[in-house]
Amino acid sequence: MTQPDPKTIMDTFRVRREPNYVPQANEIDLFKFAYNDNLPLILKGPTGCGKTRFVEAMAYKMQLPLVTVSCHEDLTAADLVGRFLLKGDDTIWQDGPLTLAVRHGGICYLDEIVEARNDTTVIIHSLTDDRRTLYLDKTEELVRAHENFMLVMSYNPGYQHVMKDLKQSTKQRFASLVFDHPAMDIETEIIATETGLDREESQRLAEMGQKIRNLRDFGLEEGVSSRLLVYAGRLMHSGLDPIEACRACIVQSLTDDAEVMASVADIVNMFYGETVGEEQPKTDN
Amino acid sequence: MPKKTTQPSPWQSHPRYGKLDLRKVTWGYRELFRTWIDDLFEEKILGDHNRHTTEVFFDILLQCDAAFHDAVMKAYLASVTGPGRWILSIPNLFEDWSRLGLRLAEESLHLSVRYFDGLRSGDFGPTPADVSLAIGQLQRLASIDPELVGYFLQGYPTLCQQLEPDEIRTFVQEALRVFANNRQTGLKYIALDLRSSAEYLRVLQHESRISDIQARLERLLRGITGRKVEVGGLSQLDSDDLLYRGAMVVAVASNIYLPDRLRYFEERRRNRAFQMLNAAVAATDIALDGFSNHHGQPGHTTVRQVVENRRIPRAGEAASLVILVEISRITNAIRKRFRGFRKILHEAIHIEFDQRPARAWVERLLHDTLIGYSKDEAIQNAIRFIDETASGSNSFHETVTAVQLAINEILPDQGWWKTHSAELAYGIRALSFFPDHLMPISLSTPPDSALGADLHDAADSETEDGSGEQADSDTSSDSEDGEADTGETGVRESQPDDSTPEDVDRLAASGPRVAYFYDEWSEPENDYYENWCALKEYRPDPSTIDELPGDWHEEARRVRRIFERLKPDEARRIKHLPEGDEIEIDRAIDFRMELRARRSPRIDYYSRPYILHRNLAIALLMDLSGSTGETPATRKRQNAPDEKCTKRVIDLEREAVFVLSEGLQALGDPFGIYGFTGSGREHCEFQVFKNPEEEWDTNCRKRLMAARPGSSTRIGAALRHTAWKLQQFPARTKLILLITDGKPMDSGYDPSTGYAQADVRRACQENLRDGIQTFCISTLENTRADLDRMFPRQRYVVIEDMTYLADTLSKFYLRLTT
Repeated sequence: MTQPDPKTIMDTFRVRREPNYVPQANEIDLFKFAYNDNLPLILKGPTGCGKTRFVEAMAYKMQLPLVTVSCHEDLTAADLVGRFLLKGDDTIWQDGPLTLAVRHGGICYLDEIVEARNDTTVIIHSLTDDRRTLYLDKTEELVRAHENFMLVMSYNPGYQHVMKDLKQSTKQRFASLVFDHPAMDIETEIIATETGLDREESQRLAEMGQKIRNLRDFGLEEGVSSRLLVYAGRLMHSGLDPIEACRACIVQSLTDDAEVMASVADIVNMFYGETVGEEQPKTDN
Repeated sequence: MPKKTTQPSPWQSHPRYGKLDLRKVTWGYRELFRTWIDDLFEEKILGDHNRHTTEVFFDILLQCDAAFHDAVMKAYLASVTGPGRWILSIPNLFEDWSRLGLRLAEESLHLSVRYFDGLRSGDFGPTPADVSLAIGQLQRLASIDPELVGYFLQGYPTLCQQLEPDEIRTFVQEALRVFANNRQTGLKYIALDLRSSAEYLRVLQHESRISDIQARLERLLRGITGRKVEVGGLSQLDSDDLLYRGAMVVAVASNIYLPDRLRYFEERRRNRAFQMLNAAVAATDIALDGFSNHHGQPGHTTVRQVVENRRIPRAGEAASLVILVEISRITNAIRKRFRGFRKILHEAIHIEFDQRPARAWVERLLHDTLIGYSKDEAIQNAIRFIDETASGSNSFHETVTAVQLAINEILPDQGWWKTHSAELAYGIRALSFFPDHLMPISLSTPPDSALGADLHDAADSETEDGSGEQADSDTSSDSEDGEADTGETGVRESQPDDSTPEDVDRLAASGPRVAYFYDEWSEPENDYYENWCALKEYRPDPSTIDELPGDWHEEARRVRRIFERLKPDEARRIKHLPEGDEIEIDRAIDFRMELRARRSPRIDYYSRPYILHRNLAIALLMDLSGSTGETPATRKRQNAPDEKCTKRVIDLEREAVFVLSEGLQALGDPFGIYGFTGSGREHCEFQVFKNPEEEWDTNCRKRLMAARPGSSTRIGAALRHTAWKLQQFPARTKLILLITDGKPMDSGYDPSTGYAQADVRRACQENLRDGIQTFCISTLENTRADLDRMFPRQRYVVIEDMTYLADTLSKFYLRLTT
């Protein structure tokens, strides 16, 4: 039975190209300090504000493999730590994504951790304190975390839900980094570098995003994410009419409420339209 | 062709429907009527499965008097067996339509026949919404003068074809105004037999009305300014200065007033664009800290007053110059940032000066400043100064400072100033698209919040003394029975106890109320005031109202359907079981592999279906303070029925709670319904409409209908008591949904300290420690900062308009729990 070379496996998790990440504050330094001090990190922030991109950027900067797990409610402990597999006549143990990162070093990123069941999240507890160990009951093995191992999780605290929230016993094992929608100059920079739009157009898009975010809690559950602004910018850079691009990526993505949609469309028209409010007249039917 | 039969139809032997005796019908119609009714039964349109509609159907037929039986009945049956038979599938609409027809029949046989024929011939429009609108208007007209109905029916097909629902209502309103002046003219007007009514129809199709786009405008303005800005019609302002100045846009204290109707253009969309421009210009002035941000505040009656207060020489000229710079600053910002307004701004400038051409030098300066170009050298130099000053300014006050400096140091040397400055002293005229900064406005200082609350309480108590409604009896029983409570039932200390809801019921039924004491958190003291609030709990007597409003049922049915659709999602498979109905193949393979690896794996590869119980209990806590007796500030919503605007906040709360309760009943989540009000810490009232363990029955519904506005809002004690009620009920997840239309406001609260907000936050934290989550649905009365403070971790949602409550509450609940 030949086990795959761990180095080869972990190499597949390396981030090959430098992700475009524009720092918002001192998060890069904080991440490095947390890594050096073996502290697990939790990233909080609204949808599409750059949490995942930040982790990718840090993995690239620090030359660490990045093992990402998108959490969901059917995620079991075995999905994280590993399971036995049949190979010919043999039975071999296959490390799960968490065990891989723990054993060989790297960042294990559990995305949207609140989606996972509480009994699943409990298995990370021993990794997040001084022990830094992971016990595999099926193989009766205690895996001590590699010196390069770091656990990072993300979640959106604005997600109002009584059934889904992190337990205090989990929350209080992590240092926290709070993200928010970037300031306008930073968002301009993000849009410009991500989409190829010139600075003026990028700034227009960023300013529009800020105006739309003012509608949060007044019809919109969440403000428009930088990701959606970037999507719209890309379509615009590819030659699509800005109104069409914004309608597809922003207006129709943000809400299904027709009245709120009209209000978001008004803001889009204000920045890109010919004349705000001049929609087609109602047809007879 | 009617079928000839001698056998009685099955419905004729039915105990209820069989009361219709076709022998009373003219001989020639008997078989025809029977065939029509038979067809409706055969097609399953009528029958016990559609009981409500069927009962209404026969009820109408039975009430037709023999004198006009045949004609009305024939028209009625013909309409529901012809193309209009779809109406039978919408019970409420069918009932309204049928009963109005019967009412008209009592007035005039001809009118009723024509009315019923209207559905068959499609005169009411093609959709249920059209028919519903027509019925609403016809009911209104019939109550004024039944003759209006016939004339209205004549013109309605045209109205329906050419106007939007809101416009039809406006047209009817105008027709009734004409009718009030002259009956005959009014009848012809509503029948569209007059040229003036046809012209009004045309105007209605073209004009843009502020009421139609108010909500949309306010959201746009919120986007621009980042804060709440209300929009209203100029008709709300009562000022001679408005006429004198000819102002078209007035922006003051986060309120923007625009012309109620705009008819500049032949196309409505362009008129609407013009209205939106006006609003956006004023909002930009607010967002960029222009004069609109300060207008009306002390010392800011007009721009001229600001200039005079600064002791700037030549105040008249200086004020005009400041206004010109501000106009330049704001319009340039709009051109630069809001591309969508460039074109309409350009047109607005043209319209402004086409209608009122610039003749005086200062008016030409205004015009050329707006277009940024002039042939006149003096004006060119003036514009250069204005543009430079505008580009260096970030606010109105910076502009004033810059102008002051320029008048003292720079301008005296400039030629244009020497020759033309005197003309600036006449002032700048009001523009049709820019807020007028020379219209005198003085806002009165708002009263202290605590004083306002005291006055409100005083007003309430006066009303109660005088009216003698339920609130009256409640209040009197508070004062009279308060001592008796202590003596007879034993006032319970703090967190009680062993009393069950049945005890409470029994005690309530026998008169006195059960009282509880709760601590209250004082942030300044950083400690609790022990036993600070005396809270009295009682169950209101069920309302004597038997019928709930029809639209409640309609909305409840809709919500119930949505909630019922969630039920299948709750049916899951439980996996990883040592025994069960099915084998999970992946787990079984895992098991085999582990066995091969010579481990002793656990058998956990079975699964079985399982209905997941949500294990969730919810308490709906309604704010019943005095303000809930008022009608809310509403926004016009597309296709919203008119009557919603007349409902009080309490009506909307009751409706929302009723609708959600119907949904919760369908979903199976246990829920309690409570209300709170009071008057001071000694008299906190807590009303129990339903406890989680009770059935949602007629009594609970009637109790809910009996909810009445009280006095003040002391949220902390109510939250603590609701939490205690929930603690008595076994559920893993517990949730309080607080519905409030205002800030916590009670005697003894000092708004400057945020005492009440801190106590609410503390109560939420206490509840959370007990595993009870608290969420709030609030109106804009509470600022976001206050809500953040009271309900940490964004446990709140803000609704712009209380008329949205029923819809929002149900959606919010689903979002929280699914």
